[in-house]
Amino acid sequence: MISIIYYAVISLLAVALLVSLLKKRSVPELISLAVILVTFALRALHIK
Amino acid sequence: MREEYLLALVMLGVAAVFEIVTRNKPKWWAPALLLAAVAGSLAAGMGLRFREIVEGPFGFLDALLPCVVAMIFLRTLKDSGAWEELFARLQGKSPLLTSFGMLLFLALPGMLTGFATASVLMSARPVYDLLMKKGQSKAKAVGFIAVGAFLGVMLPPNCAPAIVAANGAGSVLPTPYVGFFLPLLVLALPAFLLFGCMSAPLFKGEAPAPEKRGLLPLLPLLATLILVLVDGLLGSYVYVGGQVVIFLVGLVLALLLPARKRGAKDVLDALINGVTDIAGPVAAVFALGSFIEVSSMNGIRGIFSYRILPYGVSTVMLVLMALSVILGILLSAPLPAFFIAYAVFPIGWLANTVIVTGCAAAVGVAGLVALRGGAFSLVKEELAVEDVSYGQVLRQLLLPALLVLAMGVVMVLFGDKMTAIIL
Repeated sequence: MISIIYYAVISLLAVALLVSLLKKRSVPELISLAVILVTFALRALHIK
Repeated sequence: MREEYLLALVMLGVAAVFEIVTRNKPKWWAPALLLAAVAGSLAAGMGLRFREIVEGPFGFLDALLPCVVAMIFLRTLKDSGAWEELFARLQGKSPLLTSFGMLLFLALPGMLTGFATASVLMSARPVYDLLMKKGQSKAKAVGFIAVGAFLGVMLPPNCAPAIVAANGAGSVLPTPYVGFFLPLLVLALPAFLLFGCMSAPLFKGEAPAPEKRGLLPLLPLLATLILVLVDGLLGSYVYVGGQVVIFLVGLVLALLLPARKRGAKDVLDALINGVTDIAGPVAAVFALGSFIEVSSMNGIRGIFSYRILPYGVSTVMLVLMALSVILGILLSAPLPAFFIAYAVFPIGWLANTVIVTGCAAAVGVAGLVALRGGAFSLVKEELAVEDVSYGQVLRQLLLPALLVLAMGVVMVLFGDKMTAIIL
């Protein structure tokens, strides 16, 4: 149950980050969002 | 000269030069550390090692996930009007009570997320306006807010410097971020109490009474804080699902009990804004993970382990803590965080969290006393206060910084005798 919540939260945050990336942002902000998105997305996919 | 020293120079040099060129703005920390990690990998003749660069952040993921969810929860509270209600309720009847109330109001976001950015974004403006109404100078207001944000970072449950230090302990597996609640409280509570008392005169004088609505919108925050306390203090006996679940429960309650009604779009905005608010510092810690991982891959950690063998563990830690604070004045927290991750490394996996917390104090202090890119700059930028100089607020910053640092040194030296506070 807890692991379902864990992966659901990470997946939801990954989607939120993806949506954030679609807005107009500065270069450092885009890099920061991408760094987190890659980490979250890989965890959500359980690929390490 | 051995190749590893040159590689260390390349990595640290690239990060330092990048920080100087970008005037040490926190939004550039993640790119700076990533670039340095790539440079370290290339200079070692190993090409672009995506595995290490991507794998490094995983060491921080579990500890930082609650911080991100906490920021979304806080953003929801702010957007729903509950944060204004908390601000009104924390203004006490006497200057001393108001001082502690405002310090808590500033510290709370940092305590829940582990980052000063959260405190500054959530609480800086109302406290600044209150201090202006009380007739205080801009410098004193900025100093008070910067210290409040710093204390929030150092107080439990979440503390980014301690998360970084915990990751540094051990070799293959990082020490999990567990058992830090009381050590962090011991580290930062004396400074909180002393600074709260010292700042009471700032809140003398008349100001319009705040408008209070009802306590119901504060229920989600109260429930969350109780659950966080249970998790932190009684975690060995009672399992409440961990902080991610706790903040999710708080988030759902905050959506159900808003101070003012909001639509579905506002809720989605809170989710996206919460993530983006804290993206910069979280990405910087993730990038630091890449930096540490590459430094292990190219042999820097190996030569470090070899070179420190003749010295006592405490000596290594204290030297690196001193180096971190000195470097932090010039370059703020990113490189000190790397040094502290290395300072904790010799004590191994399942390290004594009291000692780890003591080391982490140096990173927190580095972030407070930094000339640029620290708490002072964050507050100045958020409030758009241009006519306040570092020198004007330094005196206010020094006492809490020195007290937290002194507690850190005590915890490093006597941590082995303080294990009773690890719950």
